[in-house]
Amino acid sequence: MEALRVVDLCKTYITNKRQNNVLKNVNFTIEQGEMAAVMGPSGSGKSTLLYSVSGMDRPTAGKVILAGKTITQLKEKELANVRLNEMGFIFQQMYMLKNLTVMDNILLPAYQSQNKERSQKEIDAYAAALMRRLGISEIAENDITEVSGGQLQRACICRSMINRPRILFADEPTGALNRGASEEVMKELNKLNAEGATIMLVTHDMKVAAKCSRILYIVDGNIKGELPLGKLYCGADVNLGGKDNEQEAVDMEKLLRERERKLNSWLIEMGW
Amino acid sequence: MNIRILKKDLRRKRSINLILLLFIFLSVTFVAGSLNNFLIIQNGIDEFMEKSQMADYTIMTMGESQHNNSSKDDEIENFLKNQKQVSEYFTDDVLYLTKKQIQRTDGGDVEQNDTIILSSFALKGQKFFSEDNQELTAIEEGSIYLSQKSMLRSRLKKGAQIVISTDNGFRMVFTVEGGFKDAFLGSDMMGSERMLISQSDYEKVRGEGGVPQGKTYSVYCSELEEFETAYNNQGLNVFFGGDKKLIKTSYIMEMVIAAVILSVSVCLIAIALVMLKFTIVFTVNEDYKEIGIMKAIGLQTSAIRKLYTAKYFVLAAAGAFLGFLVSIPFSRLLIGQATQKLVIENSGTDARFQFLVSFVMMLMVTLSAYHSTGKIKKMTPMDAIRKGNNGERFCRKGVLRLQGSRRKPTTFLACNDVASEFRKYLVLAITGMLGLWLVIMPVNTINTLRSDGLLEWFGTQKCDFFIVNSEKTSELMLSGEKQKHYDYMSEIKTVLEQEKIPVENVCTEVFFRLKVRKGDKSFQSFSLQGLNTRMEDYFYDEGSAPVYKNEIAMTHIVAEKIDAAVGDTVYITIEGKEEPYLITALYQSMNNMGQGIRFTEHAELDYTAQAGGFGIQVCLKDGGEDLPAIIERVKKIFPEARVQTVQEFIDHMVGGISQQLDSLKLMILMVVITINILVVVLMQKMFLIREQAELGMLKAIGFSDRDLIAWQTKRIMLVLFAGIVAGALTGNYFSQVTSGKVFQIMGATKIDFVVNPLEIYGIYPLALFLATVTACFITMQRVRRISVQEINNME
Repeated sequence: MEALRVVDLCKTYITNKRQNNVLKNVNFTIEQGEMAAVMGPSGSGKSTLLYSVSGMDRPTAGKVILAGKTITQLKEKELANVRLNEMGFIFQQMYMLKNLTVMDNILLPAYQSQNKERSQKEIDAYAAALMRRLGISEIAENDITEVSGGQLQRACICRSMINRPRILFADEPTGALNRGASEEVMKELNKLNAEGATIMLVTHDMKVAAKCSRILYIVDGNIKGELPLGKLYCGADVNLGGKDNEQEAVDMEKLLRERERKLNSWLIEMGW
Repeated sequence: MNIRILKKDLRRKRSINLILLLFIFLSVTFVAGSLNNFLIIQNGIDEFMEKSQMADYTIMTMGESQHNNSSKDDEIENFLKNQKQVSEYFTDDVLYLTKKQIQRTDGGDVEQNDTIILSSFALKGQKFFSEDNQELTAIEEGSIYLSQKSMLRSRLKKGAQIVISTDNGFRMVFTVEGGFKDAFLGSDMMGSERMLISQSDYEKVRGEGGVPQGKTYSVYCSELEEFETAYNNQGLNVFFGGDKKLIKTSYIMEMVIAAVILSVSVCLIAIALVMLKFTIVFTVNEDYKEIGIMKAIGLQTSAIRKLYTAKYFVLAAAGAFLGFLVSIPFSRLLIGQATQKLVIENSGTDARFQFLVSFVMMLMVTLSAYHSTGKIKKMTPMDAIRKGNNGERFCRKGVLRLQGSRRKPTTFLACNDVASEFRKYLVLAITGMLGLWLVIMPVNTINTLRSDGLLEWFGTQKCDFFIVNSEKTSELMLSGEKQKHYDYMSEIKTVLEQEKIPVENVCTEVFFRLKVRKGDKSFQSFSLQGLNTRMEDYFYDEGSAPVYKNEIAMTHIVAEKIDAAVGDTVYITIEGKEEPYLITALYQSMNNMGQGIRFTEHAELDYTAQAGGFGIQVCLKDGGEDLPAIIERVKKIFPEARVQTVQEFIDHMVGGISQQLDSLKLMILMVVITINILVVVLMQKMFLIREQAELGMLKAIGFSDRDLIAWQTKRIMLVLFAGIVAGALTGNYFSQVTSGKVFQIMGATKIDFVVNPLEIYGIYPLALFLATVTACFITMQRVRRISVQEINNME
């Protein structure tokens, strides 16, 4: 079942009376439960694609269909509502409001949502559960200046998940993190994906992309190719790599190296 | 290089720089204009007195029509001749006319005060000046000069013709030569005004008789205080006696207006400097990267501070220059009213002084800008590297908690921002508070001046309206009989009752100037006796109403002059004899700058020495016809008299100040709203720069433009609301300490301001609030243009 379909998407910027076609008739589909990574050289249009697809930026032409709804035809207010209730966002920098605690930052989109299906108590409980799952319960009451980058990015993931979105968009989610924190964050995203979340992310990092089920390679505003890698985890496999099972961890390490090698050769082929 | 950076910065933050420029410009315009105005009026009054050769002490007498030199005058002459403190004195004859005796040939009225003094042009004691400040040196036969206030009120022009007539059939037509400036009787507070004619015409009018005559004594003293003591001790019976200081004080209303505008200007410059500091601190905080890099490449802190100061110097210089240019016509506009009465050179414009003020303001703004860049000293290259994060953690910023909150998230965010960083919004709160103070002050003053209750402060009993017939007042004064007053009141009452007007009481107040003494201290005081009035109906703030004929009430000012208090016995000279009187009460009065002694109706006073009266006061029975309808009818019944409501009467007494304040109030309201709007727009523009990444992020997670505008607007609403509430709650106190001082000068030391809750707590705060919030809302529409990609600028 397709979660997102992009049809003939174009985006043109006009700077100093000069036309710059950043996206040129982009077409692709993301299936429900898929974790797709968009890769490409700098200036290829990765971020523009992500922002156009997620409704943050208006495309010049083309369609974006999210769960059967053409979001490119929506008005600004409707689009905001879609972003609030049906999409989640994770950015490279850990953007949060500085006058709120970590917990309040996570709760903010849920409190703002007009969705009355959940009571405030249920929302609070769900936020606490998300934080527990991502291992940041202890920082709930902290100010955002009091926590590490890795913790903050996990808090951002909690915030993106708080309204149970259909799809998660992530723009270089590990770009501002060190290796350890980066691996923690990707593990959490893989867990969410294994639980059924659809994720589309933009990355430069091969290690990150290797953990995704499919890679889209974009050059000069066109999808030049795609590489299906298959899911890294399936259902109960999400805990693979834990301390308790050293053999499984070694196997996972091997599997990852294998995926990275495959991806690397493919990228070289693509001209990376 | 510096110029290139400067140009770029001026262009980059165009609207913020433009608002700052506007602030500096407005401040310079107001300060330079109003300070010039204030000083010119203050000095102008002194200069006017000097040029007019105003005497140190002026005495006026009023006698009968046929007696040129009464016994009163002989007594004064003898007194003056024997005073060693008197360097010299001049005596001039004057005639007293009533309004009815002066008519326009075209049938219209000449709008004048009740007592009109006709003087010959060739006065020995005082000089007069034309409308264009030229000294009057000659006047042709058949020509007449009217006071400036009379010319303006009657809308008379040069060449108009007026007739002076007397009861015995004398009639003489004069051509109006123009208005003139009279230092002695020119202020709005003076109840009399003067007309000037040639000596030969004056002799003709006097020769025909039928017009009360009097004298003006212009006394020049070597020791004024000693003279005043001697004069007070003498207990002379005069129509008016006062020193130059009293005459100058009568121009207080000119000073009030100037002082009000000056206080607006002071607030404006204070707000401008605070805004400047706010902007600089904000900009410096925003530019931590650039500053860090500049320091990293070896620029000295002082050089970076100079770079920032240079920009504000450019703004200060441009604002000061523009402000200086506009302050010249602005000052002329402000001083326009005063120049109609005072002799002020160059139409009140002293460009050099205004330039100096503008220059000082420019230096002040530049120095303040340099001082505000102090934070640059603390910034290091590490700030640039760490993106402004100095590694300091565990400093909680948020105060409120969203979790469990029932408020809408946008309302919560607004409350939390204000509660967490109130200092950031303090400028707006202070501006709102100061702005409301500036509006409340004239509003309270106007309401107080227009309240019926103010009658109490004029030592007058409450009534519904006044019937003032100046001719009848003169007639009663000259009759010298108390009974005549009762007869006149009875006559009025009968006429009104015949016309089915529900009269409850008709009363009047008669004035005297009497010498009061306690021990070796004496004072020539304005005194009153109410006829058909009840002593307990007057206002006293100490003691109880006098009851017996040897009991009096006294104003605090007179009591202080002779060191008297409630319970003391003082001696008052009546018909040459000192009589003991017991002070039973003290009161305040705005009559005659707070002077006053109140006698009971039984007190036996010398009515041949009466100095005037307020006119007839009419109290109506409750219910029945509307007051305005009754007044209209009374005007028709007594066409020769001036029928005034209490408010009109008070306005007349305080020289129309409430009308001037009314127009000033509107100007202040406009200025205050403009300032508030500028502050809020400037703040919002800066917040938008700082918060555009946060706004982008909130947009990305699903907040609509409307939500974001609501968040930002609610935040401003909260701060403004706090400022306005603080302003409304403390504004009345501000009125007491500012306008209260003016009332104090006029004699009312403890005045209770009339506060109209609807205006003070409703209309004006709401107007200020709505205008500012609307401006904020409009500014915030820019949120719609903020792209989600601004999150990439988030630090």
